[in-house]
Amino acid sequence: MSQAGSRFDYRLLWVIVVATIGIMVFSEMSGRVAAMSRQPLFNVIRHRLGFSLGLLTLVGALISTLITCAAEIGGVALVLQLLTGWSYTLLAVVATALLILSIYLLPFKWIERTYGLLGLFMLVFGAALLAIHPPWNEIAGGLKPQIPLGMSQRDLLGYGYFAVALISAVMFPYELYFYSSGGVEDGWSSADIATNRVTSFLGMGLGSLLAMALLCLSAQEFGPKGISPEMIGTVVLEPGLPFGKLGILLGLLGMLFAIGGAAIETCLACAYGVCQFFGWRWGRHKKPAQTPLFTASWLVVFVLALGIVLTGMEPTELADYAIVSAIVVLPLSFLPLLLVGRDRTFMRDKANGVLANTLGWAYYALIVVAAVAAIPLYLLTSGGKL
Amino acid sequence: MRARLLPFALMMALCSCSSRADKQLEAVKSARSVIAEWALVEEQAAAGRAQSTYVGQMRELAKDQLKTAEQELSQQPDAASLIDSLRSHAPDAAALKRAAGALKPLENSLETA
Repeated sequence: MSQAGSRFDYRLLWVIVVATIGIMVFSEMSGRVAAMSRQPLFNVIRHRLGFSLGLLTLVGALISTLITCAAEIGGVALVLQLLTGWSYTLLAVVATALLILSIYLLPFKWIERTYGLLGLFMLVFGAALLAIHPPWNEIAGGLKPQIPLGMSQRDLLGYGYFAVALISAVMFPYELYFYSSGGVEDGWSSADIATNRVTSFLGMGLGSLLAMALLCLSAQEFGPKGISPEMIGTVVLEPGLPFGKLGILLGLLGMLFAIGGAAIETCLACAYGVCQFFGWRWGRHKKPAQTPLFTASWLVVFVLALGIVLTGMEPTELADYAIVSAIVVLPLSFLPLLLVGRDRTFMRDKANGVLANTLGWAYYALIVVAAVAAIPLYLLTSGGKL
Repeated sequence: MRARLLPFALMMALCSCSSRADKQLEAVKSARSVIAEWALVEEQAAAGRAQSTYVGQMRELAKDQLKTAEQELSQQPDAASLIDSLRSHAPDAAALKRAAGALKPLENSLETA
């Protein structure tokens, strides 16, 4: 977000809006499918794509989500390093241990509440945007879909890369694996369709508002200074500039709990995927001993993710790989959802209507184009660094 | 068989697009941004608006990042020695801003190469 804002000011804001509507559409659909068919996403994927293509989707999703989890553990360790001054390697191990203990010891509702509520420290970024009195007319101009004129070929490729990266970052597939699994575990039925709709729209909408605040702050505070944040710690200067030490502290705490909560979600999403695909007993509402393979799966994911971090790869580099790999997996993850969502034998009177079908297929076309373009754009722009 | 090799050949062609000049451009852009980020941190520190632990860690992280850029810029002795001097001293915000500005012409020349 920050690099996109500092390099292209507000001109990529519209991509976040477009991608947010997309993730709302698919999130609502995955919740509705979970409520009506009582099947989480990876059950649907296996049944609709068949074993071979389903397995390919599972492997792709696992690789992408594992890299994301590693980037998040690295991010948590870096934030802890900035708060304490201790060794990054030690903190990566401590962070992983704390995340494992969180899942093992806390009831799921408490994990959601703890990380969700403490992650609200991230609102300091929104407050910082209001405090610096940004040019709202320019921000409004950035909401209009555009391909800027007069750019060099290199900048145009960079613009394309960041557009694809933003779509991927907003539409991370693990969000749907996690969300639909939660719906099944909570025993959603047709009575929960309205709740699902509100949760999908508000949850995804609030996250994206924060993403837009990060992009705007970066455009306003970093772009003119020639900064395209290379260090995660620089991002907390966005609230630090208007609010001083308090802004830096709240920014770091917000990032700590937001990234930590996301690491738990990505790790569990991997375990959900494996268990649902192979038909193993799974669930976070059950005690770990009642679901041994599920418990072993998420423990292995955390250990593997920590192993990746300990190789010395930078969290920002890992995040780049996560974003590119995620968009490549998206089409295979979303296709079965679209097929089941419109199937009246499964969905009865809650099957996709005209709007959900039209938006779903339009977004499907968009993510296929983005998936095809992602790797060439990554290579041609060196991950947006050229 | 040829059709199967086509995506692989295309990927190799794209990879080869990343020339030595591109690597140097990437390194100088990264260095300029890291130096500007470091300057901003020093500005906040001098004004008493940032925690000392945060500032100390950001200095070390900036030096680590610049070490990578310096190695990549070994063919550009002026830029490499400028970065080396920043890493081995304790520059203030003004010196860092000057250093970031001094790298701009090199970035421009690599951009047009």
